Amino acid sequence: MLTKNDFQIIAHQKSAPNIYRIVLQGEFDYAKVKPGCFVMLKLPDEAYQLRRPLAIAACDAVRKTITLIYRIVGDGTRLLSELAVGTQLNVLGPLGNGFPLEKVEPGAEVLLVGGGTGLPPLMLLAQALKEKGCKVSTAIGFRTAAMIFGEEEFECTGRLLLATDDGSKGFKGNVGELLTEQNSTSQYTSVYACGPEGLLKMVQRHFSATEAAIYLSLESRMACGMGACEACVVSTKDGILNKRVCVEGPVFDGREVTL
Amino acid sequence: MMAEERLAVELPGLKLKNPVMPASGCFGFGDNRYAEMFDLNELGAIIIKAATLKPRIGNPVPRIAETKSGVLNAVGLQNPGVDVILKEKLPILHKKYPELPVIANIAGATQAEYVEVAKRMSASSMVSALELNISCPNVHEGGMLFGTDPATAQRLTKAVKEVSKVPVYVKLSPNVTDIVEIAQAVAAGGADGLSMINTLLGMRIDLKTRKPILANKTGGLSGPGIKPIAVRMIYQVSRAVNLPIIAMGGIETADDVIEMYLAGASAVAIGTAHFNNPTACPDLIKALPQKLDELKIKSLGQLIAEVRSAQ
Repeated sequence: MLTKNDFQIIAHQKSAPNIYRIVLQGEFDYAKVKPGCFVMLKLPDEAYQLRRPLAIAACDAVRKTITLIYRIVGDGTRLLSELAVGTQLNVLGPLGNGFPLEKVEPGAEVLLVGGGTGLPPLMLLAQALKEKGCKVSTAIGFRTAAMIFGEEEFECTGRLLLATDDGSKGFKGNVGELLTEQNSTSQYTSVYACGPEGLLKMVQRHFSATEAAIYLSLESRMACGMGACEACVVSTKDGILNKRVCVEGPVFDGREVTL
Repeated sequence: MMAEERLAVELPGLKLKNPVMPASGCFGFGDNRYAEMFDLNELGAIIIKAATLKPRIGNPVPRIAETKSGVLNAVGLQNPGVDVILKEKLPILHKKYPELPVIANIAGATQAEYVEVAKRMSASSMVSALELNISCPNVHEGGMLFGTDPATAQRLTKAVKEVSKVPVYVKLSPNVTDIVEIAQAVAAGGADGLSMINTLLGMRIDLKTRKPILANKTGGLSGPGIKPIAVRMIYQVSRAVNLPIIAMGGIETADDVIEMYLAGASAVAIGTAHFNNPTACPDLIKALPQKLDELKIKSLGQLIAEVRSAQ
């Protein structure tokens, strides 16, 4: 069931420059949460007319908490970053279709590729894939070592391949170059990616000639999140701007979606 | 008086149990997740997304940008075309909610297109009224061009009225020097009512890219930031033209609804408020009776009569 309930902030801290981790406690349909699902947060200031769509990075149905990780990109997320523990936030969700976990077999070797604020949904995904018995590798990239977050989460779930543009930690270069250097594209049965458009295009180029299933989780400017306003449309090979990221996505088959 | 009767209003072609309806473009064809959050039967009516003769892909993305107290959109009338709407979208809506009055928003690039869409749409027994969209700021042909020149607006209204089997509400653009002049023109063209206001043409520029945020560059501004403009325009038009007005433009609360009635409205449509509050419409419908008590208003019908007689 889709609800809009008040959640309470029970933890809120900075994870990296401009990156914040917020833990919210409240009631919603935890059974419907799949890796890749998102919620829309209402900002506690009437001047903001749009909710902020944020992917679920962790979810605990017993403690009734969800963890979100966001970057400050404007006034709205800045306001969010200033909210103290104990503050109530209205959460609309869970929204979107997650990654199709049922399509991967236990024991399968899978690759997660992420960058920037594309990492949070991959954290929940990595956990789920590990629990399913998959061999999880995660390739993530940052500008520099100081910007890194999520390292521990991905180390817990399998092998971590880390890249920084300036080489201050891990491989020197971007994730695409890292994967090229590893030259290990054929071993994966599924590849899951979330991040900037350039990264997703790289994943499409890199893996489209392989046997691997490709799943891309897309970010988009959204207004309603309910499939009504047509703001977040994306093109697929079946048509131009014919799918809505909020309801048909945010996860799409990497061979179907046109970026 | 029963709570329901207090909210009931009657407009040409529309017997509404309450005056609250989702505005065109913010609610699709009812085929979205809002139906998971409340029963659409609670609504006074629904104004469905604009229909054109042929399917329209709409504008490139980004189509949406936020402003302080508002939203800019440039969706560009994306729709599957009038025939698909009549064959696939409306039957589903009608089957689920047979009692829900449907107002069909229609658009076109030429007068001939508007007329053809009006002819097909109004012939459907599932459609109670048309909303003639002469005010979309996000298309490069037609749209707002029909709503900014009085003679063109009058001609189009007359042509659509000649073929329409249901009452026609003309949706006015606020992007004009004198909205009264346009309202008088469409009244002379035979309009049965008015919808006002559509969005205001606006723009936001990204500081880093130095380019407009919207792919279409400009977009239509909606939300509470434009409410005072809507109130002013409805106030002016309702004094100059004797037509019922469906008010829209930043309505969020029961206070906003009453303010629109005091300006001269007969019903209200809700758009942007859905984004923060998906149950904006049913919440308003629930809040209205108490607001009427508080302000010692017997019924909305009586309020309309009082406002009209004081004009």
